[in-house]
Amino acid sequence: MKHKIITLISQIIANLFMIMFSITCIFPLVWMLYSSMKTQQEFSLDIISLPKVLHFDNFIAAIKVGKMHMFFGNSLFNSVISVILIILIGFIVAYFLSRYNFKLRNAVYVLFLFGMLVPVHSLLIPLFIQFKVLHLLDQRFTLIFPYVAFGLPMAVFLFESFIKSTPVEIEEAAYLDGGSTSTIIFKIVMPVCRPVISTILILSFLNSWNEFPFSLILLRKQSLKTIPIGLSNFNGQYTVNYPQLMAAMVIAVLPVIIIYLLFSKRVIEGMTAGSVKG
Amino acid sequence: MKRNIKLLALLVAVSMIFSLAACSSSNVSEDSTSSSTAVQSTVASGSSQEPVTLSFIHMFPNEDTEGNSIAFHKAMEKFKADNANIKINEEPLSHDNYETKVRTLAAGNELPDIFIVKGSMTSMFIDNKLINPVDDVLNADADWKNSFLQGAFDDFTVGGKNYGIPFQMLNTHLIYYNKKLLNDAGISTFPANWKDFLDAINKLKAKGITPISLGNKGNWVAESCILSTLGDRFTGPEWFTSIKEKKGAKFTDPEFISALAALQELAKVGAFNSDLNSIDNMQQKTPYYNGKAAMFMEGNWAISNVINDAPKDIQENTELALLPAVDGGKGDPMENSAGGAWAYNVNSELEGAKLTAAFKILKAVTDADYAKIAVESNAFPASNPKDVDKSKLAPLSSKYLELASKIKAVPIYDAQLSADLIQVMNTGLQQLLINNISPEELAKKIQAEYEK
Repeated sequence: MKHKIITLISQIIANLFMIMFSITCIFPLVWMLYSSMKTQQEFSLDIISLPKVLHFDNFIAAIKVGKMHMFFGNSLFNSVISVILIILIGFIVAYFLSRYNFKLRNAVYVLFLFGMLVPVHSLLIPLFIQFKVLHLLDQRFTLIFPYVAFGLPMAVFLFESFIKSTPVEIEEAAYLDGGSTSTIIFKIVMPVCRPVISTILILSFLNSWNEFPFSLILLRKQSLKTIPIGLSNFNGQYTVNYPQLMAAMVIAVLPVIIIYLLFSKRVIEGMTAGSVKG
Repeated sequence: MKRNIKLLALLVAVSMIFSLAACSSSNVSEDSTSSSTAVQSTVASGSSQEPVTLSFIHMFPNEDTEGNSIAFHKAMEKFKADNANIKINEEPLSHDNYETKVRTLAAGNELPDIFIVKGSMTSMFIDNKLINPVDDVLNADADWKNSFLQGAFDDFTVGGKNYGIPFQMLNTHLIYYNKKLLNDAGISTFPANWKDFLDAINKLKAKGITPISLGNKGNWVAESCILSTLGDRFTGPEWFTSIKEKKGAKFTDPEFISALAALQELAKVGAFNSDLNSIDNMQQKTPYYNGKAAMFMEGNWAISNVINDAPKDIQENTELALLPAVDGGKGDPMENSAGGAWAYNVNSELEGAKLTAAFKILKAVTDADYAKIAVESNAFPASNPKDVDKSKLAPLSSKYLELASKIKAVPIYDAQLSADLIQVMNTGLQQLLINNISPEELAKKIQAEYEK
């Protein structure tokens, strides 16, 4: 009996602690959601209080004046294409790196990993000049190049270590049954890699969705810019129209939350996954 | 062997994907270059009525609700309606992004036709031959030239020539105070000397009111909105001129140290709220709007905030003042840190019809007519507005205009000193305000950076 009470109490304490911890993560989102329905005046008087009247003008302004739908579309385009390319190229490269032994294998692998060490900001001006010389500035596809290039190192690294840990016997069995290399790669290995694919999908989607410096520097046409730039437009030199900014942010975080909710289980799976799956 | 061939096939396939992508993008770029050459040829053959296309990068996004931005858009709309032949490709960016971008564009020699230059960037732009002086254009148009306020060009004058057309006149220091709260604490007029000012702070504190609400998280507020003026009260403007031209003045001079000491004294007597380094300049107004703080110090841009956001009773009781004179100080109590900070200029490579059109645009967003639009949008332009209808102005704006007409402009530290020096000063001030560094030590640190 006594023992039971102690476990009960310790459970309550542990849960309370976890609930408090969750609140610190969730409250900012909730705060953003209801603040987006306040007027600027209400917000300046008290930043925490609930809105008196639900005020949807901010959303209308975010779309009409802030053109959030346009930025949203651009971001979606860049992110989706980049993620597909990162996963496809990263997977194929990693497969050959982990299964084939060729002369410069280590050099190629290290070259990809070096990409993780380069800070983005040191590349802004060189890349800007390079893109200018190549006439790649201000195109619909401009941002795909840096996004894929910066997403690949991580993808190659994760895929490579994951594929290495899966038993080669599965592939050998497929080979004996007459499977071609492409069958083995796409029909046997890729499904096994599903957990790590979702990890890479989420990480590279988030990176491309949030990416800021390249979008600022490499694009000039307003109609091509992405969401982070659109959001920053709400900041004046000295003042910020917070409620409108929050409304725009609600629009901006929606896909990220949706993607996370859809794939979160798989991400956790990917982190803990062992060797053979499915 | 068979495996190797398949591997090769795969590699070829991947490389084809790449080459396809490369092809499609190069097609697009050809299109755009051909259209831009078309524009150039029309310009070359054209009179002023021929269509002209200009690129214009600025820091007034539509979303920005500051007075300057509102006035800019009103003026541009009018200009576009009157000049259908001039096509303007605008690229609006928010202030901070604008600064990053314009520096990158300058580094890549890819500046658009019209852009905005910061006072502290001017010499770099001149050294790289990116901008030309604007004196010839201004001298040719006396009305335009004479409409500018005294001191508006100071941030952009190098070697006696003006390298920019200012559009705003910032007064970075103003004390916004709540008349009623001061009255309740037994202060009937705003203190005229430092001793009375400290007295007033103690009286307000005794009533349980925060005397001065300060949000210095962005670390520029204490320097730009307080120290630039407080420093001048002690040192006088000659000292700053000597600092800027490197003619012997030092940050370790006793006058400047006294200014730092005075700021620290304010913090020590509890004039500021205790969370001053963790809230920003938007949040510093919240206690003021709620009647819990008696004053805040910020530039003239905050006028439109007070008008738009403050509750009515607070707004009606808001008055404006400047820091009082200090004992033994060399500065005049009507001197105030002010300047243009940013100014328009055009690409030094522009010529012919494009150049004329570019200055036509700049005139529309800086002249006396623009000033009228700006004043009516609660912004404060760099030129004198033409016949303003005072009844259209908010009471606080009229109070400001009255005060501003008496102000003598002295430099804003961060508009004229190098960015590295300002960085040292700003972070040092954050420490100074929480008593982590003595005025002498901070002065030494700033001087060390200055001598680098």
